[in-house]
Amino acid sequence: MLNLISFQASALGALGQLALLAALAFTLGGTWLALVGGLKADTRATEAARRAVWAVFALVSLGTLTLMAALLRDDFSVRYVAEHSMRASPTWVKVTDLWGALEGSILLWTWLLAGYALILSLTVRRDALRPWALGAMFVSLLFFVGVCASIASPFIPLAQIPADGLGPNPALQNHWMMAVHPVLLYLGFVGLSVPFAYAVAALVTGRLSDHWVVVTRRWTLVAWAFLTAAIVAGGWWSYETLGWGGYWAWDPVENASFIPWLLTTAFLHSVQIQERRGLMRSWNVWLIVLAYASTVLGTFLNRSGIVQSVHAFAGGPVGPVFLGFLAFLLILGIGLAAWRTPLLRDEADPPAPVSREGAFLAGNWLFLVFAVMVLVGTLFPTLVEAVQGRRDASVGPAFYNAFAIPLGLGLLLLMGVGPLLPWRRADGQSFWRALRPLLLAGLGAGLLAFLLGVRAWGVLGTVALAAYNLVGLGLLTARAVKQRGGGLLGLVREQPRRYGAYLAHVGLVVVALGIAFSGTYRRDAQATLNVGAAPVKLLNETLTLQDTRQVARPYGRSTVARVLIDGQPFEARLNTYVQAGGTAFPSPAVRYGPLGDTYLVVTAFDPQGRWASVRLIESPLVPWIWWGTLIVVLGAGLTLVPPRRVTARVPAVQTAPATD
Amino acid sequence: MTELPSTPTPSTPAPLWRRLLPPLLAAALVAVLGAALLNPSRNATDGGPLVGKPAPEFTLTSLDGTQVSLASLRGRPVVLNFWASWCGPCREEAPLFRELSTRQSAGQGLAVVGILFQETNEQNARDFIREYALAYPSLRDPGIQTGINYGVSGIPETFFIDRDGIIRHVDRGGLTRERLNVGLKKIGVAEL
Amino acid sequence: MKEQRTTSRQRPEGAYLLSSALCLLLSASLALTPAQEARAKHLGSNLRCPICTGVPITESTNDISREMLREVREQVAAGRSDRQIYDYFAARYGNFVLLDPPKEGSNLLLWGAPLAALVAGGAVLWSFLGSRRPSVEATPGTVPTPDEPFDTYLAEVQRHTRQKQPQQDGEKS
Repeated sequence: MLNLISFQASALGALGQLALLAALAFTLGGTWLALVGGLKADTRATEAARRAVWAVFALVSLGTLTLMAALLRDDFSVRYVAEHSMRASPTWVKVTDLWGALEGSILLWTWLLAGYALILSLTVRRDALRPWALGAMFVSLLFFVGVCASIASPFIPLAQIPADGLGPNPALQNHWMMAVHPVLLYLGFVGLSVPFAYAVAALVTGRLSDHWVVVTRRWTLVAWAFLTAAIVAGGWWSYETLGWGGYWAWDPVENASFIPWLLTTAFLHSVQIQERRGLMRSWNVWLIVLAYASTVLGTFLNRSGIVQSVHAFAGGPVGPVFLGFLAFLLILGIGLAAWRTPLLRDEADPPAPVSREGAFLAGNWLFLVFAVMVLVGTLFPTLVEAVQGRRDASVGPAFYNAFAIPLGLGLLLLMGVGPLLPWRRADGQSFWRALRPLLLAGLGAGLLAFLLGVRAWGVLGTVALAAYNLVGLGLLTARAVKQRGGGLLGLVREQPRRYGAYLAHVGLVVVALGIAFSGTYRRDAQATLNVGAAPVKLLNETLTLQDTRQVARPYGRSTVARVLIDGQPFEARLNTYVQAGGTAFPSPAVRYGPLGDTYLVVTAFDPQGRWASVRLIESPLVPWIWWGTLIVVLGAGLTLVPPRRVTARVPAVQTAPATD
Repeated sequence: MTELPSTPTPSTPAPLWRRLLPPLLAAALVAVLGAALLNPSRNATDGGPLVGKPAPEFTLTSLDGTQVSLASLRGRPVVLNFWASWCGPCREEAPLFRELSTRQSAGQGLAVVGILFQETNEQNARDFIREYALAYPSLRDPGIQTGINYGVSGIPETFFIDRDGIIRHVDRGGLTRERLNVGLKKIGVAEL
Repeated sequence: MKEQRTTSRQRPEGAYLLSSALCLLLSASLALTPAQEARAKHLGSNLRCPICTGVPITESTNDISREMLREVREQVAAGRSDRQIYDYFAARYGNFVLLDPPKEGSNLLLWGAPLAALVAGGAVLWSFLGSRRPSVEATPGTVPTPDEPFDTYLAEVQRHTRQKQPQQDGEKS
């Protein structure tokens, strides 16, 4: 039995632990109330469950703030602070320590989950779905509050209070992005719990309303936008701190965040079919259940230590618990879905192949194949290990790229077709006419790229499809502007959802170009530079080492090499941290340019300061990935803006009376 | 507006295999993850792809300048230990090797050979040998060529090679008496 | 963080920086043609550093990776095929070091799974879209659904569809 609380040992620790235990009690109560509310259609019980959410949120907030206060005050009587923080760290590192290690990251997760539950409790409609949506949210909360109040509690008392803590994981203090990426990622992952709750409610009650479609779509879109930003922020962190000049390595933990992204992207498209046509209802529920389960799978992979990853936390006691939760979710989700989806069966006929629905479904197909590919690649070594009893397989970028490039190009192709096609059906001839300018543009751009010397087929395809997409979106927008008059801005205001989607597509095209070029035309070279020696030629640049100097800080040491590259100063660092012994963490000097980056890493240096070994990497269009993602997220945000009411020209929508 | 009727639609239900497929896939996924989680084989200290294969040939110079090749030891069981002076576990298993080295004998008897792996300071290695009175040659391996040929990534790592020059056992990590005996038994050498 | 140390086995620590720089100079001495250089780099990027977490030897800064890369370059210079070089390392370090698993044996499961998913998904999609009742063509739009906001470009496409759709406000968010 765990000794959870000791008032003598730590006042703050006891406060935090009490808050978490109280939150657990309210979660248990809330789960029961929601169940009663659902089973007996008892609105008073449901209302009480709704209020229990508020208490849970308040108590988990108290627990989180307690931990934060302990971190900032260097209160090493709190276990988590003693094990993962230290006095010498700068304040921002102490703040990020909150999610820098296993227990704190689960607490942050729980807190965000409670926050989402709070928003849900405030926005959920008074209908038959309400108790079940709250109940499903409570089940998630029960797991996370339970884990962070017991086996992964940051507040478990210490036998002895140390004078200083062991310090944070040095790789996480090496770059400020660590303050951003995990929070965004959790906002994305946890955000999917809300659509999941709605999906469970829909399955239990066998009802889907218009309202259901709207709320799940919006919630998923919010989570998706965070997830998109988080994945790219993680890439940026990797680029700026791991020193290999790359941003994506198909690492298991990276993959684990990518699978939910693929599934939610598929959902965001197929849910529109349900919105417009009332079709694909059970399919959409399935997708949400899978997307949420995949976030838990990712968390399990990240925290159990069963996959080898740069990003994994050390294996702890939470591995089996997360696996249990994953199994429970899959059983619950798939069981419910298998039992109840006959109720959600579509009444109308499937959509026509050549229609926007058809394009969305084809996109769904590719997204799912993509997700399966990533999942299989991630788990294959584990599968081999389970069968053979030893680790005897690795899956590297060669495998993923072999599939990701054609699948990505296929998705870009469909991305251009989708907005072009009308709902319901289009006949081949007019569709062909509409498609022709796009194809011509794509062909022209591909040919131009070929003439300019591009030979890699992946890049040629991306360039061609980028032009094809941009011309398509441009034509659609230009014609709409011309037809409506009054400029683009008014149009966007009237239809923020459509133009938000267009903008997100433009962003994705920019990202795709960045990935294609930086992945194919990256060049790197290494050299050892001597102070005062003649400039060294490397990749069409001349490098001169001016000097190296040591910077000592309370938490570690930096060796800074000042290098002139074509006359411009670069300061690349090699950082060591007191808690990590002699291990050096590179901090490359990067100069971002609109068309490419110059990236300089120090790999070794002379203690006497006479020479430094450097690696120079030049990747074209890397910044396009960051800027493109910003455009994608802005587009996603735009789709959530309420449209300005349109006057006269559009007849009023005739709708059946709302029954929910 | 489109509240669904809660009556099932008349269309035919999906065939059994299609309804069973998702739960089966999910169960398989959880089973694989569970199996991987519950028996962490990645910490295995023995075995490897070279077991059962002929030991890669080498001819290297020892710290005291004599040449030693594996071919010259053919017909004798060989215990081959990769080590370095900076390696803590090597220090812990050194007394065992001292004891083992006393069991060496010419002709058909056991031979013990050490190969230095990424040794950064030869003087430290000599001190190490003197400290533990290791009575067998330790060979320099410039460029880790022999180390790579034996698939060594970290030390200590010990290969047990039988009279026919076949690798019968590999042990990674610090040896204990039991683990050493497992290897010795496989190459027909009396246990310590 | 990149180096995963097991408790019982060790690698030199402080020695990295100095010795790696020396090895860098040594390994550069072997002269390869640009084509051979590119091949060595490609091979190296598909060989996993045996002591790191999922990093190929071309991206790792430790000595063992550097020496493995030197071995690759030597074998490339000696004219051995890609397959022979991969086999050389797999025979010593296990299939674990092959980041580009050869398409044979149990690896067929890995390479085949995405293809199987593509084909199976395609078949499901095909049969789903193909299950439209032909009567739909004759009596379209029995259920009125909201449609796109008016757009000439779309209208041009829609004009040819058999069904005239009501122009409605599609913004329901």
